[in-house]
Amino acid sequence: MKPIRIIIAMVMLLVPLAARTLWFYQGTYQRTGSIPTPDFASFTIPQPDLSTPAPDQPTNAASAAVKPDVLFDLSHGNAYFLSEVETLTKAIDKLGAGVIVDEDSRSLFEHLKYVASLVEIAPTNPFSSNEIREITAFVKRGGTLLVLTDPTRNFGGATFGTSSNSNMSSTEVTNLLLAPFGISFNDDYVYNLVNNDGNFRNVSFEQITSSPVTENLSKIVLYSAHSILTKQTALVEGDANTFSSLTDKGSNLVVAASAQENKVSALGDMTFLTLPYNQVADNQNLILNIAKFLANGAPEQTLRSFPYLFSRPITILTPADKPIDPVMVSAMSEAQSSLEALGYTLDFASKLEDGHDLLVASSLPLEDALKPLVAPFKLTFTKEPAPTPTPAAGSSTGLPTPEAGGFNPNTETMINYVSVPGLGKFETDGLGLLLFAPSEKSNTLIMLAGSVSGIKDLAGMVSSGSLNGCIIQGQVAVCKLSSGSGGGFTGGG
Amino acid sequence: MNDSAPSRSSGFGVWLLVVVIPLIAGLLLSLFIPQPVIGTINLNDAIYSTTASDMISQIRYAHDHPEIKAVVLVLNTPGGTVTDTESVYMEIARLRQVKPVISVVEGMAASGGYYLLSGTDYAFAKPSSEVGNIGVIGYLPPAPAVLEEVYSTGPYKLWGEPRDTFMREMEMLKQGFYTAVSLGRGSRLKAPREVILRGQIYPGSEALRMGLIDELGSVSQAYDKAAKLTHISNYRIEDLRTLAGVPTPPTNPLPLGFFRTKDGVSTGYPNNPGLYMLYIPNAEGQP
Repeated sequence: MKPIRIIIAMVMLLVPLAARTLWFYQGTYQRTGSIPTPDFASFTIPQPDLSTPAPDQPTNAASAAVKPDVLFDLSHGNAYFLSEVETLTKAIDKLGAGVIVDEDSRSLFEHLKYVASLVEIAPTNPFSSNEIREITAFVKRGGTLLVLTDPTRNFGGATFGTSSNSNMSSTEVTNLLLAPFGISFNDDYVYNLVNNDGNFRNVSFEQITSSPVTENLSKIVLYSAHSILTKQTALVEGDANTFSSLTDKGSNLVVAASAQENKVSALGDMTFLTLPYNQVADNQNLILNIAKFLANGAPEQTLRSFPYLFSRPITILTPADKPIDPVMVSAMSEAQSSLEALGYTLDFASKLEDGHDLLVASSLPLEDALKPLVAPFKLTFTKEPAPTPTPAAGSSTGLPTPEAGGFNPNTETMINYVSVPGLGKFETDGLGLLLFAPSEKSNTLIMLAGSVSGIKDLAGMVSSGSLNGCIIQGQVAVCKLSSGSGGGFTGGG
Repeated sequence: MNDSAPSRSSGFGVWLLVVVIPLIAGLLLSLFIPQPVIGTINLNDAIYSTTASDMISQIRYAHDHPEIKAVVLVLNTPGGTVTDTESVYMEIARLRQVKPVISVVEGMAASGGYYLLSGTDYAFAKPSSEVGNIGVIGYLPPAPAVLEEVYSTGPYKLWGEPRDTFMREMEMLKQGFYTAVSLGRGSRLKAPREVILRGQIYPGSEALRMGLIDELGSVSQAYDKAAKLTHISNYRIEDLRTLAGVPTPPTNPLPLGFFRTKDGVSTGYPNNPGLYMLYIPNAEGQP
């Protein structure tokens, strides 16, 4: 075969092949370079910045014979278990203070009479206006208030074994409580994609203003925290990368604040109290600071705290040189048992011992030995003739009748009065007086009554824990007693 | 004339031998040149063990069969478990060494779905497709405890790891996820890291502006793009599920698989603790 024919044959053979190839393929796929994939082995689990455990603190129980109590509220649908905040309760205990739990809001008023501090964590049931007023008054007389919220605990007190009977969020509830102090929580959470502890919502904070709660802290980590709006003192602020979930923006977002001369502290997180988050950064020191803050609450003691008026063992003063009336013994016994039931220790002595508080009970007229104790109250005791009878309206004879009062038979009767500054003049018969004098060294409560049986009535008030039926003015209470013939306000003063 | 007859028959023989037979032979031989195939893998479910296994079978088939010149991954998925997502991602990376993979988002390529998308050569989405949700979620395991009836040889034998470690592990996985996106998208990624890691889900048009996808388009455009990348035309489209002999999935709508309790009740979220690259719109009853 001629070469030309061979070539033609080859062409004829290849044309279909080439045509089909070109029909389908106009080139070849060439991958340039390798496919980049992550070096998975290089990724490690971020570890927390563990803090040095805080040194054990010596207790300060010696500074007060009766330890201060810190009240943890669980009566407002609080979304936490007490066991979760053991890091705080143990720190409080180490400082020599006591921890009291209130599971019944009706007893809140009673607890606030004597506790040093109130802790509110994620309450979801609203506070009544009375409760807010009482808590505000508690803070204004020197008690400390710690309010913690948490975005993960904004609802659902029932989940934590506490009854929740409202649809309000924890931030709404606490904002009403904190309104008098100029602090409110935002219903958000803060996050930081740059400076965090293992997760964007675990935000590290290094902008810390020194205060009792934040002293000696350089870095803390909060695990989901609400931001705070306040014109008071900002204690902890986020950096430029800390944003609020509400706006995805933020600058210097506040997550902890204080008010009322550091008597109120508010923090938008409670998870930092729980294990193991308490061990990160300076969180342990923060917890210790909070414990000190709570243990050092020192509400001014007033008669409104009755009967929780004592801070030390109590000496009940007994006369050394005169017999004691059996009714007085009964009254003292009632006072003793009532005060012991409240946790006080008592003894009887004829003079005050150092480091003790004093309880004095006496019937009127006032004994000379007691006059120095009563003098600061500027009471004036007088004895005056009974009022001259006046004709009763409607009386045909124009003579006074016994029912009309002020009836004076032929003989003139003398009546004992006591004048209380700011309150007026009172007939002492059937009247009781409570005089309270707190001081740094010793608190003194003086119970005066027109009769010995009146003292017993006053002692009964200790056991009832209430000053119902009394007028309270400053540190003086004037009480109408069930014993005695009457007593009454005569006005003036 | 006598000369011409043999000459004519000789000419016909030459014509037959030189032109017709070689042409017929060439035509017959050309049939051995395969028509290029663009394989399609449909993911219309969450990514969990079953769906991941099905996908991997299809990817391996595409890898091993030369007539398949490119693969189009059609995604409609909220993502799924971390491990299964990573498994598919790695198989796609292996396939891409030899063949381009184009992805196209139908309804959603969220979380783990986007993880897969970021590992493809080119990505399409509809303007309203949901794209992104980059990140990891985790349902914490129970807090370690001691049970009366169960003994184990170590404190985490029963529980796996401390809850805190579980949380931190998510951060490590997030780093892997972001790195995969960053490497996969390269200079095409326009959104900064802190925006990406917010975990937001975007409509396709916004995802395009952020560089999370390459183009708004349909599956047809994805095939065209695959053909262009591989320089083929007149291709055939085949469902790799059929070619690979992977059984047809049940026709249950989402949620499927692990979105189901032992009692068969569908839930809008995984019913087991674990780590997920998954988009779960907040739902009633969600833990």
